[in-house]
Parts: sequence; structure tokens; C-alpha cells
Amino acid sequence: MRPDRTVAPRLPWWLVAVAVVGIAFVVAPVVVMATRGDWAHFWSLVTSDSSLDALRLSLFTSVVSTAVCVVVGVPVAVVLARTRFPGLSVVRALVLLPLVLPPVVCGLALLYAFGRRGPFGHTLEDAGISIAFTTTAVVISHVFVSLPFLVLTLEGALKVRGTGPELAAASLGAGPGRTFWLVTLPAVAPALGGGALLAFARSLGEFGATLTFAGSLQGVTRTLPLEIYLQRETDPDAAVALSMLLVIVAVLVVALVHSAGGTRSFRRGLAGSVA
Amino acid sequence: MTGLHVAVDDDARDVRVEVAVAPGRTLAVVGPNGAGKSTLLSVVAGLYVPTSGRVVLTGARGEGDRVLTDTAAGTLVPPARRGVVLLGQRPELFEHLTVRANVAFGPRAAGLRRADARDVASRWLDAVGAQGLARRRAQALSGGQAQRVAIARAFAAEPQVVLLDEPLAAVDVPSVPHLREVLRRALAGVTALVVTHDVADALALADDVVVVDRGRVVEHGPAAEVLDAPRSAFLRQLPAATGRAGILGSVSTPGPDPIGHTDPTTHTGEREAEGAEHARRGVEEHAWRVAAAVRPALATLVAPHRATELAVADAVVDPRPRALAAAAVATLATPGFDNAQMDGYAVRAADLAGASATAPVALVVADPIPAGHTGAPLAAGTAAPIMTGAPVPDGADAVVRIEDALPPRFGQDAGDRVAFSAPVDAGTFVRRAGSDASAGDVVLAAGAPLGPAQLGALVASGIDRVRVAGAPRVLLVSTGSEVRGSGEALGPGQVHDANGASLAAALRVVGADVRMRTVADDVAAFRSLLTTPDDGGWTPDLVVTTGGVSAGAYEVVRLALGALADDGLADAWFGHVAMQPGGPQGLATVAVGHGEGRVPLVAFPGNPVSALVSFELFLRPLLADATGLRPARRGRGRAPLAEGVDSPPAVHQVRRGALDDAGRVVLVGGPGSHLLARYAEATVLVHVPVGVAHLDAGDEIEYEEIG
Repeated sequence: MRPDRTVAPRLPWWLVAVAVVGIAFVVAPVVVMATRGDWAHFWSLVTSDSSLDALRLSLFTSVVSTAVCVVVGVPVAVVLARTRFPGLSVVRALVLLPLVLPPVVCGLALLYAFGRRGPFGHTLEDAGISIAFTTTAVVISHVFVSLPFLVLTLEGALKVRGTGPELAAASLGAGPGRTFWLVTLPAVAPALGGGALLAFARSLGEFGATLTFAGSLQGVTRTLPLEIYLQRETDPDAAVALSMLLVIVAVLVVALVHSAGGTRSFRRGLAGSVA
Repeated sequence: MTGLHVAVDDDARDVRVEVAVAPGRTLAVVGPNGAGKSTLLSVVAGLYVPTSGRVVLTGARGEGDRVLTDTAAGTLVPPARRGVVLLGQRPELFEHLTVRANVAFGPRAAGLRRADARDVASRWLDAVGAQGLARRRAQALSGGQAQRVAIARAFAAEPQVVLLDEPLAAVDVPSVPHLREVLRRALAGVTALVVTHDVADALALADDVVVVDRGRVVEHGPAAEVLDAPRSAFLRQLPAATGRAGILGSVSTPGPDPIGHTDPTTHTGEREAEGAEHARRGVEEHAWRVAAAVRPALATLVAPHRATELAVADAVVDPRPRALAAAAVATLATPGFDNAQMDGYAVRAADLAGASATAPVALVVADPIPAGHTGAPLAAGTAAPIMTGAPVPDGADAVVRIEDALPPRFGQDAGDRVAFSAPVDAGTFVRRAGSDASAGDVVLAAGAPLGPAQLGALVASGIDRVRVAGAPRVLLVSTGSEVRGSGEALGPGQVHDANGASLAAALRVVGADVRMRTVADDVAAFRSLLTTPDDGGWTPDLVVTTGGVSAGAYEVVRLALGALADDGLADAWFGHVAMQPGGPQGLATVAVGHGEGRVPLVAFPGNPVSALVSFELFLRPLLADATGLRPARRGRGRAPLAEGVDSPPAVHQVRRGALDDAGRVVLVGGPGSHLLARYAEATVLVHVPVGVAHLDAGDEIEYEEIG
């Protein structure tokens, strides 16, 4: 890479100083934890049956919940960004509620709605479907807390873009469906990727709602964070090792998506998709 | 083909406008910001629903009218199904798609198969000169390129009506002429509505113009007519406030177009033979821009420091045309006294009250009243013979024509009897004092030319001195190292300054105060001529140059003005005007001497016929308006051609000719531009408009009388 010879505008020194403290505040605990880890036994610690079960379950539920978030979240974001109706701001606030609610409260809410005695859970129960304390419950709790991240990201991108291209498409004779698939969606694809990544990360780290709504059943509902919490009581070394595993998985996923979604080849693939 | 009819009556934006566009024509909507232009487009596009309004495609595809919006009936066809494409200031390309995919978008939406849509796209990319961009991603285009692609995309959708909303307003200045030409070609035969605040766009793109101001149509008509003789306040103030490109027009660069242009109607994709073709400015546009640059300078001629006082008696014998700088006010009433309008008898109307054919009234003949004398008061029961123009005597209040008297002739002696067989109303055939003009009346308004009738009126009104506009001072510069003055000996390769001679004479005839200068092909010499005049306070109102404007290697006017422009001392445009002869033209405003303001500079090509024809087209009408030369426009007429004529269709050809005894137009000399001797024989200029390649003998053609 060529050295950047442009001169950036100068910043006040105190601002830089606070920023350094802030960054250290985030990085230091992770580093310190890593130094406390029993690295000699790292491999055996993370490859125990319970650890592997938790890892497998975490990845599976996070991927599935992210997919659900995309399918449900895109329409939500488009409706919030592109329609006008009375009470829109109230609806937006409610959709984003899980962002600010304590996860335990989210879990409780889900439990009352989808639990055996809840209105939805009861109906499903009659149909022979039980949700509470199953892997499905894990996915539901993940979607519940992750959806706002995707919606927020995508809605922002849609609003920033404006509706010029959509008006142009309509003027060229494209109906609403064609315009959505060929103009709106591809144009916000990068934001959609970013939102999905945030949702995935949120799912991966989900703890409180999952524990409350889905419980902690090895191989079924005990995701990695739950496993870590459990191990911490009995085997702190294992907890640290699993924590490091979670850190590594998170970093890998971020790097992977960033390199795929951010490259020109990815966007060019979109560019040629119409004609 | 479809026409368009729009009626908008909107309370929220206070817009009440109704316009109609005939099938295949382009209507420009011009007006200040906030006038309601964009509301009009939004209504047509279906993006805004007015309080009350209708949008109708008239005679759509032989199926009668198609109503797109009708607030009374609650009709609102959604934008995608209106057959109306809107192209705005911003290209709004689909940035994630390739250029070709963008252009193919409309055809694909219309249901064309992918391959067919690509063909249509390629054709339109060729048409707008963007074929090289087809595989680029829209995001990677410059502003001019993007708008070019947006134009292709809009027309590729084959809309029934195209709406253009300031299509060139956001394009960087050097790209404007290219894109305007691209649009002009694409619009041929398309029903379109163009909103613009740039008169050059309106002239180049539109057949008709409506001017909208504060939500109302204030002016409408054919584009050239409306823009040439603007009536609305908005258009009139434009020369001072014309858009970004300024009144000179944006600078066009010589040489071949980097991208190239083709005619979209042919879809052949062939490049034009002549690279600079696209950059040609229409004759009307150039005339308008010259007028916009020159008129403000000529307007100062009536200012107090330039106007002069002139005795009317001197004006009568002065050979130079004159125009009044200030209104002339009558010092006398005209006529100055009651006078007879007919030869006859001055009478008291009361005396004849009972007269009839069966009972005529006889009066005693009084002394006759000759012109130039005041007669004695008229006694009751008498009638005085009076001649036309003679003062009606006191007591008399009517004149009876001699043919209505008995006997119906003069020759009665005083004391004889004359009989009248009908009553007469008081005031009959009497011109009252002051009935033409009272003292203090404005006899002639400021700006009036001093022709024979006007001078007569001044004298009659007792006006002996008037303030007249100063003569326009024109600095006429002939350029070229080879040019020698008339009478000087010629060295090898040298020529006499025929250009200077003919233009100086032409300027003198229109009443200009001309100073001639000859400058070698030397940029420094040309600059110093403009910046350090040694003419004792004589600063020109207008600079006219000949030569040094084309794209040759050493073009002194062009280079010197380029250098002056770099120093911030001039703004200049040099380019081609679509005319023959006289293609290369220049227009500038330049700081002259130590003057505060800029002086307009009109640069004509170096060859004599071109220069003179250019003068006729661009400068003569403006100067004649200012100096009071009448008629200010050459007489025009149409006559059949005595012979066939060929003309490049891309240009407006001006041939020289004469009318033969049969009233037909005979051409004098060829189309070549150097034949000044043949020009001298010509009595008419013959206009072969753009788009005409050939006319046969017998075809009618427009001519303009020059001799």
C-alpha cells in the first residue's frame, strides 16, 4: 500500500487522550483474560463433549436466527423507512424495544407469549408443537433480541439513500415488485450485510433471554455463553478457554463477512445480475 | 403519436397553469424558481396530486384520449403505467448496475427479452455517444457521463411523453453543449416538456415556450419568437441573470469530441465526419447571446453622459440616424388655433338651425379669411369664406363645405347672399386648438428614431432642441500580419483590408462612430490595443474583430482573449455556429483600458463575405435598434428560386442573390465565402435553413433585401 501523504485535519489532544483510554478499556480486559487462560490444556478443554455441543448449537442457532432476521427484518425496515402512517414513530420504538430491554425481561416476555400457557404457545401446543425449552426456543429468543440491530442498520441506509432511484424505476415502467428486487434491495445490500453481521454477533452472545425462555439443556438449548456461565462455577479454566473460543469465532466471522461483503467482486456480481 | 394536455389548479402551491403539447413537439417551461414549473412536471409524472387537475394523453395510439390524472373523477394512473418518463437534474442511475443494465431497465420492465433489451440499450448508448461506457458500473461515471446515460435510459424506455426537469443544470459546464446537442437530437419527434431556467436550453431544445411566473402562465408562443421579443418581466431581466454558463455560453473546446455523437434516429452508430459538428451553436442561439452581451452596452447610449443635445434644424440635415435619448415634450399646442378642416364658409351653427332643402337659410357673405391671418369676428347672420388651415374667426363655430353651399363655389363678393339647405352642428370641420397635442404633451417617447415624420412632429410642436442618444463607439480591429490598409502598396502574400473597409462602412450606415485598427498576428499587440488605448478618452462601447477565431494554429483573437480570460480580464466563448459562411465565431466581454466595466467583443471570421454576413445576422439589428436607423430589420420576403440550390443540411446557409424581372431569386456567386466582389452585386441575402439539403428551381425561399 502506498503511504497516505494527505494531511488530515488536526484533533484536540484531550480528545485523542480520552479515545486511547476508551480503546484500552475495551481491549484490556480481553487481553488480561487471555493471559489468565490455561493455554496448555486449551485444546482438550474446548473439545470436551459439552463444549463441542455448545459450540455446534451456538453456530447453528445463530445462523438460523440471522436468516430469520433477514427474511423478517428487511420488510420491517422498508416499511419503517418508506411508508408514512400515523403512529409510525411509536411502532418504530416498539420494534426496537428489545435493544433496551434487559435480556431476562425479553426471555420472560417470550415465555409468557410462547410458553405452554401463553396464548401462542397454547395454540401451538394444540397443534402438537412444543416450543419452550427446545432449540426452536433458542432461535426465537435470538431473533427477538437480534432483529432490531438489522432493522436499525437497514432503515438508516434506506433513509440516507432517498427514493430517487425508486422514482426513476417507476418512471421507466417498473412496478413496485420489480423496483424492490432490482433497485432497492441490491442498492442496500452492503447495509443488509452489515445488519446481518450485527444480528449474528448479537445471537452468538445471547445469554439472558435464552436462559430464561429456553433453559440450559446440553445439546438442545445450552449455547456457548450458557456453557461458559455453567463452567465458571466448577472449572474457571474451561470457562476462560471457552470464552477465548467465542472471541476467536466472533473475530473469524467478522473478518469473513467483511472480506466477502466489502470486496468489489461481490458488488460486481450484483452489478451484472440484471442484463 | 401522443400529445399532452395538462391543467393544474393547486391551492397548496398556488399554481394555476394549463398547457398543451402537440404530438412530437417539445414545450419548454421557463420561469424563476418557485414559479410552479416543477409542480407541473410532478403532476404529469403522477408524483403530485393537485387540488384540482387533469393530465390527458391526447389521441394516444389512435385510441382517443387517455386520462392519467383527473381529480374530479378520482383517476390517478400510477407512475409506472403512465408512459411518462421523468429525467431530472440528477441522473439517479442504479449505481449497483452496469451502464448497459441501466439503459436496458426500461425495455426489460416493458417485457422485452434480455437480448432484445440489450440491443435497445446498445442502440441508445450509441445515440448518446456512451457506447464505450456500456460495461462500466454506473457508480464509476463522471457527472456528465452519468447524465448522458440517464438520457439514453429515459429514451430507451420509449415513453409517450418525456419530462425533462432542468436536465443540464447539474452537469459540469464543459459538458453542457455536448449534452444539449444529445438531447436536441433525442427529442426530435418526441412529445416532451422541458423545465429550464436557461434560455439557451429552451432555444436549442424546444419548439414552443411558456413562461411561468408565480404559478401563472405569463407568456407563450414559438420558442424563437418569445425569446427574441420577450414581454414578461422574467425574460426581460434574463440577460443580466442568465444561468451558470453566462450569456456568452459555456466555453467549447475545438477539435474532435472525445466520445463522439451519432444521430439517435438512424441508429447506425456511425461517427460524424466532422468532429466539431456536435459543438455547433444554432444561429438563433448565437444571435440571442450576442444580443444579450451587446444590448446592455448600447443601453448606456441614452445615459446623461453619452446623450447629446441637438438642434432639430441640424437633425433635419444630419446624415446619421438618430434616436431620442429623452422624451420630446411639446412647447406649443398643435394646432395652435382653431382652424378650418375644409374649404367652405365659417358660420354660426345657430344661424342655420332651421335650414332645410325646402327652406334654405340665406346668409350675408363676409370678407374671406385667408390662411396665415386672423379674420374679423364673424357677425350673426353672416358667413365668411375660409380656406383649409385658416383660423376660424371668433363667433364662428362650424365650417360648411363649399360643395354644401348654394352656390357651391367661391367667387361671391362680400355682401352677396349664400344659402344653406341643411343645419350644421357646432364644431363641424373645425380643428380645435391643441387637438393634436397640448403644450406639455409627450410628442415622441425616449428611444424614438428621428425619421421624417418624427422630425416634422417635433417642428410642429415647437420643439427646437432634443436630446439624442450618443452614437455607439465601435472599435473595429482587423487582424492578420498580411493585412494592409487601402492604398498601401502590397508586399508578397499581403492583402488589402477589405474586411475593415466593408465592416466600417456597414457600421457607419447604421450610425456607429467607428475607429479602425489593424493588428498583426501578435497576441501582445492585440492585448495592448485593448488594454492601453491611446484614444484620448474614447472608449469603445463595442469591439468588433475580424479574423483569428477559427481553430487554426495561430488565431490571435482567440489566443489573446484566452490569455485575458486567464488573467480575469475577459470572459470568452469561441466555437462554431451552424451557418455558412461564417461558421467560426467568438463572443466575449473584455476589460478595455482603465474602464470599470466590461465591453462586449464580437469576433467575426476573417474572410470578408463571412464577416459581412455575420454582421447582417448578429449585429446590424441590434445597432439599428439603438441608433434609430429605420427600418431596423431588413425587408424580408419569399420568392421562387430561379435555379436549384444545394446546402449542407447541418448548417444555415446564407447565399447572396438578386431578384430577376420575373421576381425569382437568382443566386450570385457560389457558396464559397471569399467572393466579396460578387456580394457587391447582390441585392438580397438568401436563407437556406438548417435541415435543407437541396431546393429545386421554383421552390420558394426566404430572402432579405440588402440593396
